[in-house]
Amino acid sequence: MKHEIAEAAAMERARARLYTFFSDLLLNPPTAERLDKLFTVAGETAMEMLFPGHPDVETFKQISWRHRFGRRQDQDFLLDYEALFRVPGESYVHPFESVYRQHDDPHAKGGKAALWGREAREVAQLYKDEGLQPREHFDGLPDHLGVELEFVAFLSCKCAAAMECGDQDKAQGFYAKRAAFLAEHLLAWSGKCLTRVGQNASTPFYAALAALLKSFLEDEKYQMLEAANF
Amino acid sequence: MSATSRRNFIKGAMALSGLLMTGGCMSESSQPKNWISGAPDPDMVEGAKVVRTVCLGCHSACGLQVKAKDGVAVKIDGNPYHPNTREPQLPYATDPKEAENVNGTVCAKGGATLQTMYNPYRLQHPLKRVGPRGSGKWKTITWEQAYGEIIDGGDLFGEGHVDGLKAIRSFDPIDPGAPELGPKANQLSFMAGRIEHGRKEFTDRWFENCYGTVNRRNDHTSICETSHHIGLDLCFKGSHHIKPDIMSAEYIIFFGTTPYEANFPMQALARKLNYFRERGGTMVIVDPRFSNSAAKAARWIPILPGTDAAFALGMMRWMMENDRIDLEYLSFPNAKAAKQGAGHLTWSNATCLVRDDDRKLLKDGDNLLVMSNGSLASAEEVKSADLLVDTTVDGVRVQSVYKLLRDRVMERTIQQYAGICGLDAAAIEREADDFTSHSRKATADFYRGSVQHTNGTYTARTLGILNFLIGNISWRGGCEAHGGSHWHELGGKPGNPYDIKDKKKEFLPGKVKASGVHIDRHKNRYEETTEFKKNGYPAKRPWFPFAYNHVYQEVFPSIAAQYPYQTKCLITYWNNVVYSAPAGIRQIEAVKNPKVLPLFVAIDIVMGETSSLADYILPCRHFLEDYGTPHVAPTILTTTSGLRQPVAEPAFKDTKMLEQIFIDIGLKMGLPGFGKDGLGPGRDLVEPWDWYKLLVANIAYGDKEGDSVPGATEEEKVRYVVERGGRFEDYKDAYKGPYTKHAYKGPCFIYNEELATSSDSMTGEFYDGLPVYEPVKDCLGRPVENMAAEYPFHIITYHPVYHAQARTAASPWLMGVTPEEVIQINAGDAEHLGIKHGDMVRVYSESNKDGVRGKAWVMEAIRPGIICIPHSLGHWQYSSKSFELDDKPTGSASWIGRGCSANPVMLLDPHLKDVCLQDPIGGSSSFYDTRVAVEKV
Ligand code: SF4
Repeated sequence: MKHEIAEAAAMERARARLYTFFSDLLLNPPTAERLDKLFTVAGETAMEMLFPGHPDVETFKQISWRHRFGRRQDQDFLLDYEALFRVPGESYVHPFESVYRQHDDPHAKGGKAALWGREAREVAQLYKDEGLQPREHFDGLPDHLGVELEFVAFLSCKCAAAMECGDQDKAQGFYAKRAAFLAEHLLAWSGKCLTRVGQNASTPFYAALAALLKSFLEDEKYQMLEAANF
Repeated sequence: MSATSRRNFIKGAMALSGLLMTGGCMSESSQPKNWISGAPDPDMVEGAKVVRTVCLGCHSACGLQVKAKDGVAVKIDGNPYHPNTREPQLPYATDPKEAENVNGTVCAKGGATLQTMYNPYRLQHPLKRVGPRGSGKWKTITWEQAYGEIIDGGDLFGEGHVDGLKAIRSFDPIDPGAPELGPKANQLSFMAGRIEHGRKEFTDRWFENCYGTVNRRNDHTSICETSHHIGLDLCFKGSHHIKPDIMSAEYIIFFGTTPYEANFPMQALARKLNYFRERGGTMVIVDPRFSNSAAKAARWIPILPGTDAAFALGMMRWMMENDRIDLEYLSFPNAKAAKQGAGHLTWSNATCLVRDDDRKLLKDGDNLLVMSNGSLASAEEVKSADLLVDTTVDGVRVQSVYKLLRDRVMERTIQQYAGICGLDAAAIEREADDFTSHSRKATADFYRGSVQHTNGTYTARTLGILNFLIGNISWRGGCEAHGGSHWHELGGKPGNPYDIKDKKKEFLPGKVKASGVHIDRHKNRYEETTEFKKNGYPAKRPWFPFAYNHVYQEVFPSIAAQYPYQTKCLITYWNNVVYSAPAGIRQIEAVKNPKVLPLFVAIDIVMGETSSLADYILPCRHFLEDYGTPHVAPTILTTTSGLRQPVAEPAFKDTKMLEQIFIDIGLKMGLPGFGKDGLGPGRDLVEPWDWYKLLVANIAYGDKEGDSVPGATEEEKVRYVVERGGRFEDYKDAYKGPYTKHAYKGPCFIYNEELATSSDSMTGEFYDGLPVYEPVKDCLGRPVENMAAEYPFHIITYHPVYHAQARTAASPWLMGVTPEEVIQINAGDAEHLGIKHGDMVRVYSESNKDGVRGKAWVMEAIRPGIICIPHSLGHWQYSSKSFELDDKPTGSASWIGRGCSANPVMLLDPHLKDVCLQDPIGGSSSFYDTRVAVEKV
């Protein structure tokens, strides 16, 4: 029993790391330093272990090799990141929940797909309820895809910590919160947004990243459903 | 997940730890702060009532979609039906409920008008002064007392008897020896600052046709850009506003305006120019200041103020010398020839012949004559006429208009023109080349900066005529001289149910006809007066026969001079002339003496600089609590009739709409046109909506038979318009083939005969009928001394995008984004004077040696030698300081008075000494002809 709890806690921590990993890449531009850390043998191995057999791991590895062997595409990645996540234009994906939830097609003309919609306020309140606040220099919105991923990571960490302390009720509480947040927020819109990232990305890197995250979240959904049935 | 997969997942995730860079975007806290403050809270808006109205944050007249909850306006967006706020706007047939899901845009000023509506410093009850005029001591009175005293007069202030409105309303002549001055009723003057369509026709009716005074409006346009209108009115027949057709143009040169910050409608101009630039259009900004627009332009031309006409004449010279004039267009002498010859909807008078003896056009009876292939012919009967004519007809030398223009243009070389402008000749040549390289898809446009000079009307004509030389008027992508205009709310068109203009005298039983000379002498000819017969030139003060828009800055000095007659009662509305006019502070004394001006009633929402000088202040409503039927500028090519209507409960219950005040006074005085059947049989006039519902019905039925909005009854049709905040032609109807749909179809006057044959009331000299550059002059036609050694700088002003005239200073949001540093000075000039950014400096002129003080804004974005102070700051009333009300000091907010204004240092006319320099033709006040000195204090 003890072993099972320890393994469950380790799984939660692993989950949290993966959520944090994607959050980090979505919230921050691909600086040279960040790319140097990412495109390493360790990075390639991690991807292989996390997404065994996924076709986009191969893409990731090829980009990583090229980077390691001097054929860097830093500028391309930066432009792609800016166009996808920062600069409203043809490729912009509007990475905010309330944009997707209030309007089916955030690119439709004349629709009401507002920033700071109801969902943004809801998630901001959830973060606050957990004692979280935006860091001083962070000026993003609370329903940014990266922020929501970070919040799931936070809940997973809390869940793991409770398990490690033997407080099953508390762990159960965090688990339930995580499941509710995924169902009511993250999973309700991230699929559409990530599909759009895949379509609009001008580099294979961000297309692969979107595909990997999408498959991870689908897996999460599947596991949540399984747990609920169980 | 199998055990192995789980283990791999955990191992893989462990490996990720080393790849991460940041600690995330959130941190834990025992008292977590909110994400951002000031985020809109749609909760308040959900379930709110949506009312569509029209903004009056500035004169752009953008439609607003206002949400009100529990009688309080809580959120302002753009009305998506209104063409100012969206590209394209929603089709008019869209269901109003569905339209609530769509917002148009509003600018910062528009959104902040909530703060001027709920401004805690608004006046809440009628006030009567209890000290001398301007002493700042007031008491609250009831409406009944105010009405009684204003109407009946009496010893109202313990200073002797004052005639009330009843006593002043006499139809005996003011001066039997000068009957042209009209009846004594003219001794009542109304002087509105900002007054708009629907409302101004109401007050015109009250003053002119119910009360019987000719002094019915005296509105502010002469401190805005009236010479732009007058100049263009002298270029076209019945049109007085041009704008480029931005959405189809290729090249636009803007003189003296910054369409990304001001001009009309500001936000639509800015949006359309973004599309224009995205398409690769070339925008050129001619302005001494590197404005927001200059920042987005292909080229910025930092011209010297007041020299735009010289630039245009230089362009004309290059065009003439490089065969870039559309001579074919100019050679068409009539409408048919122009249409059949090259598809033009307009034609010019370039081929008309000007007589040397009397400056008139050569005519045979009423027929204009031209030379066609060397023979004299009726302009109506030939397909084309000669452009370069200099001959003799019946012993009189006659020259064609184009020949005279050519001679005028050739008086100076391009280098000389450039010298006047303080530029290189290459700048003029480059724009002349580019302007003439886009066929008809190019426009020279201008606004306030070009015309608020003593040479304003001449400059307006010269710039307008630049367009005629490429034949671009009324073409898609060219110069629009009409725009979509509006449905005729006052009726008189075949489809309208109510002819409120009242040709048949059905809408104003007992109508009075006002007559006589206006207090500001606009539209009046000095030569027709007894004074002229006695004294000849110069007149005591200038007369403005062409200034159909009133001469705002002349009213107070004329009252003080009791010229041409004494004003016994002045009623102002939304008027702040002493703050807003150049050298306006010098007009304060003009209205302070009750012996000269016995009764002064101000209608205002705040204790303004001007209303603070009144005897009574009647508190009126904010525009979000008001009605109106505003029009838009020709920037908008589709027909647009906005409807202003109250969006919420009035913020202060004891205030009244302007119309209600005049209905009340009309009823109490027993004037014709009010109460039962006041608007004709079966049409009472007891509240403002009685008036406006007729106007809205006219809009709903439209101008032509079959032009009506849907609805089985008048009530349904009116509701259709009310729900949408007006009536708007669909965006798709902007064009008709190669033309704009509602294009100007008429003559284009390169030579204006009426102007050329009229004399100035001060100099007795004829005005110039051709494009011309004229240096700065005083009212006696004397060049204003430069005094560059003492006053090395030229001062200019502008409206920042987040301000408009006087009222915006009461918004904490707008003042919050207004920099503390307001005196803009070139960095090189500042260094020379030892001025650093943020230093306190004094700016002073020959007319105001004390000057104004403010913090320096040292910048590169201004031509050296120019000082610029943006408008809307530097209030000394407006509740920036307290006044005494019912023996107690009122609350105040010093931030409302932050900064300074350029107006107090503007030059006084050296001859008149009580008013700023003025354009003798258009009546514009000069905002940009003053030289100043600057020093660190
Ligand atoms: S441009 Fe003028 S009318 Fe339009 S929203 Fe702004 S302030 Fe109001």
